[in-house]
Amino acid sequence: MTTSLRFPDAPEQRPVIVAGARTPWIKSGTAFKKSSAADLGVQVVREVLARAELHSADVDEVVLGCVGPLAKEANIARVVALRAGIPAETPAFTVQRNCASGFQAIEDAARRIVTGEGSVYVVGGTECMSSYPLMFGDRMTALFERMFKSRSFMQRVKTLLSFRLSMLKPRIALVEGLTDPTCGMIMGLTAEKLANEWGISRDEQDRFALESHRRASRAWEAGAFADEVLDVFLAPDGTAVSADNGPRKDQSLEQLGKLRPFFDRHEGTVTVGNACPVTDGAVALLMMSEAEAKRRGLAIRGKLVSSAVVGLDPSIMGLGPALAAPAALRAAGCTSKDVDLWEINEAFAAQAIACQKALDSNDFGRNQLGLDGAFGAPDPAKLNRRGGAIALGHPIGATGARLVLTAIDQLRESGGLSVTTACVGGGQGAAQVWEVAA
Amino acid sequence: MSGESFGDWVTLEDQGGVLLLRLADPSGNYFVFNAASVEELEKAISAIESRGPKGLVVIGTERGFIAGADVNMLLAVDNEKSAAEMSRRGHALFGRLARLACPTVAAIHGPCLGGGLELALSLDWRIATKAKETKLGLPEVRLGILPGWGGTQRLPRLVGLPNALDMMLKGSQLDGSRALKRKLIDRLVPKEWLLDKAIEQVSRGKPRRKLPPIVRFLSFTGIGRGIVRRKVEKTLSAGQGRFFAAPPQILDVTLRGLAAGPAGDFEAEAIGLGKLTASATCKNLIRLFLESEKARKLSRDLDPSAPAVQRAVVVGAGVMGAGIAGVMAKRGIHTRLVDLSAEALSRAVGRLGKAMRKSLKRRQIKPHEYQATMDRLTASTKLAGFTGADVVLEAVAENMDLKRKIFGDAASRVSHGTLLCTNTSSLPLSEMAEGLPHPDRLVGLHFFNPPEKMPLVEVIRYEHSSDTALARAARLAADLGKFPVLVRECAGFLVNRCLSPYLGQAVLLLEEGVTVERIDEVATDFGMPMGPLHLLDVVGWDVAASVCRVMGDAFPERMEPSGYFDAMRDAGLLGEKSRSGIYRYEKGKKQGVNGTALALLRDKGFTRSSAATPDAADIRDRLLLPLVAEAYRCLDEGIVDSEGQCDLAMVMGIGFPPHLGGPITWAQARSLDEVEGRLQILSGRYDQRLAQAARVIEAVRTSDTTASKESVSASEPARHA
Repeated sequence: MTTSLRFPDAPEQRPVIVAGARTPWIKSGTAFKKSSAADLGVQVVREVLARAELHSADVDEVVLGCVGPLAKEANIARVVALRAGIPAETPAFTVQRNCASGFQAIEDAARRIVTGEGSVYVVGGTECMSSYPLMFGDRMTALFERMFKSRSFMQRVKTLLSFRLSMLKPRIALVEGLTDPTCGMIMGLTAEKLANEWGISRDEQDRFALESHRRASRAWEAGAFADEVLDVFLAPDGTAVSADNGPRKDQSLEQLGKLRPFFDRHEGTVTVGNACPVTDGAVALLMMSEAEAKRRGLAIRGKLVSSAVVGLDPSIMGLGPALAAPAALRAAGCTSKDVDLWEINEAFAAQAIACQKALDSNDFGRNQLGLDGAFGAPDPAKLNRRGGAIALGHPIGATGARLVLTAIDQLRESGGLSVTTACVGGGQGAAQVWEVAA
Repeated sequence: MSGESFGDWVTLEDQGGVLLLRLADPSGNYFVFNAASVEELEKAISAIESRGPKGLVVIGTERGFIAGADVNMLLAVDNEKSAAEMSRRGHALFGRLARLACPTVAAIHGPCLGGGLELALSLDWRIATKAKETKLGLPEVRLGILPGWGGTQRLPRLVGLPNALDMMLKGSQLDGSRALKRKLIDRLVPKEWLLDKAIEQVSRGKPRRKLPPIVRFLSFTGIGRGIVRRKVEKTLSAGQGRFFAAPPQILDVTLRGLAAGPAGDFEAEAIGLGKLTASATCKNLIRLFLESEKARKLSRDLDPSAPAVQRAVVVGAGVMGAGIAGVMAKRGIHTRLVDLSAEALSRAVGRLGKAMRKSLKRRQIKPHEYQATMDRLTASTKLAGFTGADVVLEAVAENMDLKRKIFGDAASRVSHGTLLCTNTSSLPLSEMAEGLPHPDRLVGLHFFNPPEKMPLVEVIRYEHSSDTALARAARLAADLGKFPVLVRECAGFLVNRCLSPYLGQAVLLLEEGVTVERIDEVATDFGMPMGPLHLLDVVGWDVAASVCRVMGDAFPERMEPSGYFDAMRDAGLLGEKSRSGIYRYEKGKKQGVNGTALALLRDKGFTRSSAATPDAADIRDRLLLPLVAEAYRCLDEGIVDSEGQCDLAMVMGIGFPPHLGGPITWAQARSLDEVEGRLQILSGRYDQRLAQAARVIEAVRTSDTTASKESVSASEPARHA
């Protein structure tokens, strides 16, 4: 099933972006290990308002995507908004569509702009996978419960005696979150399945990963991220975090080749080298109607043309973009040829390659997209020009909004049409088409 | 409700057999004790005694309970006897309250300070509200006196000797929850229910309290009190403590009271208050207090409608910029701190973070407050965020082009009414304002280093500053917990200009062969928090050299600096920050005199011979009398509005000994005749430039029209005694 929408052309209804910023994308357990998703969100929300020279009181609502906030950060968008100094009178809500949460935040705000509910939105996503907790297992939890219920001293002693060391084995929220509860497969295994079905070799995957690192490193060297990424000064010691720490300039194919498969240890091809790392990061965009931006004299960085989400078998969730991107482009009235820039999220090299192959496949085009033949694969030169998640990382709740930010930033000079798309754990795909005026 | 009124201040109501004693200032200010209100209170207590109610509740207004005694009453007392008499009258009054047969309750909301708390202490129960305006304390020590209406006697019995001394010697104010923790109050209630809970409390009868055994040992046994005394005496004599008579007097009177048994020794308290109140120190501290209140009201006087600053952009993350931005964040202002250097920004965030972690660890703030403060400080390398800002403050290097560029940039983007502030200490504002579309919005806001600690801010008015802008800047300073003093633009402004001859003489003395230790010692013996040469190390010789250059250019005839300033800077002997100046520093601690600095003095030929070897009095007067003369010049030129504000600025800006009241008050206490004479002698003996200072004093002394003389207006009722 596919849902897609073409956004109206009327300036009062057309959602546009006027400013954006993200934190550096940081591998979990490193620079942001003591931060929370809200901490990171505060950094970027404050920044976009400053960059757009906008009064925080002029924001109609804040919409953020986040998959795993801390227990104390329920409705994290609201927590972030208040902490960032947005007035208490401005409402905020959080959206969650797994890896497409960032897209979803944009989509939700965009629809509100279309209906005229509001005209100025701070959107984006934040994720701090470092702070995903370890949890007590069922047996330990049950012991705690019995402890609370024990009244007399003897009861308590008896309860305590039922303690076994093995009860301390934690449940790891990160692993549980990345495992599909309906098909039981951890995300890496869904990538293995695509590698098998589409005949993608280990070498092919490693080469794709290498290219991601090369492009990201080159982009950093060329200063391409200067506008996209802000410096974070961490409390309390003020440590500066200024650059993504995923991209490896000196990555070699040999090194990638030495890694053992991670998910299917014996016969697999997916390694930590050709999959995206677990990542912390936040991104915010300032959205408004085109008319509102013009009234305020703000430069329009990108216009939202269309969007789509699709559902598919969770065990091949990685193929989501091959369904969602065509749907969004079709809604926009465009074909593969019209696209100047593709941003396909690189959850796994196998998955990203499978999407390209599917878009290039006549069978896939006929059977899945209802076309006469292949939809048309992206030109590699137009795909993930600044590298992708394999090098940069994938803070799941934030990624969608990052893809949009980097897409409009890359088209800033040339202008053009871009499709941004990601696969979604649980078997979905999401895509948005953005247009940047030259 | 039918109530019996005893005049303007005190009314008595009956609420089902419980009498309600209401205290209210007829003008809507805080209730204070003055001749009228005390008299009414006496009458009211007689009425209560004759009625024999089943309970008594004493309550203030929505605004507050009792802010203490009217300090003008203290200022008017000029001899020991009448001051002691004032104390005895209070004892009698509160004694009658304490002896009432019915349960008595103080229902406290808002300030409950000084005499106000002493009244509350004479009642059986104290119930306070959780509101943040509720503050309890005995701040008398800050005015150089002691709690003279039974505070030294009743407080230690209620909260124990250690707690009582801590409160009385620091003069600190406790909020409701801290007061409850120290058992100063019995209950903490929501403000809406204060009266109901207070009336309800009457049914609990008279209280029976017992302090913990250790506190009882320390308070009610001779051995215990001896331990406390020794510990406290050690802290009292440290630093500038020796200049103040009140703390040892408080300690003494309190201990006497406990030694005297359950009845206490109220007479000792009365005599103690008499001595302290009649002293010059007390008068000086009260005057400074009144001046500080005036400074806090500066904004209101200039433009009562000046709105508070909620958002700020601070440009420049050096020592000053980082410090100011941190204070802003702490005080609830969303602040964007901009600098090109990521390292500077990193240090700035780290500086605030370190301070806030410390507060968190000491439980002075809660985790969410820590987080909120850190969130309010944004550090960025991007010059942006002007639109929402109420103020753009620059604290970049003293470079005119840079400052003009920043303000030019800001002015094109700021919204209507945004204030532009410069923290410059030497560049002319009129030049900085050239080309600005609204030069009236530019104000100098001169903080002192370190901004977190220094209480003074000079609000600099230049030819185009509007009252609205000045008012807003003053409001910002006051909201940051500082005392704004309005100063007209001139080289060095007020404080650095007066400081300049002081520092110049210190270096001259050094060049004449007086030892470093001797110079600094004379200054600290006078009561300065640190000697002038130590101060130069703290300020930094590079900063001092450039300030002195500016002063020398402006006033070459009397402030041309010694070449030694430049020599120190060029030699990299910058002071504390380079760990070597006049003194050496290790791990931030001052060590001995730095031989390199002295060698520099000799080798570069800065030493000079002097006709005479100055004694302590000569050194002191050479340091301080030119400062006094410069202060008079500033008054004469209208740089500062009044003698009082001038004194306040010097006390808060450079730590001029507060017990002496400030340079002007000190000089007048010595008599201007004597000051002029001394300057003439010193001029002949050491430095001819001092003759100019003598002429200034002479002019002041002989002029009939003392236009600049404007003592503190006595009509302004002041509080918190």
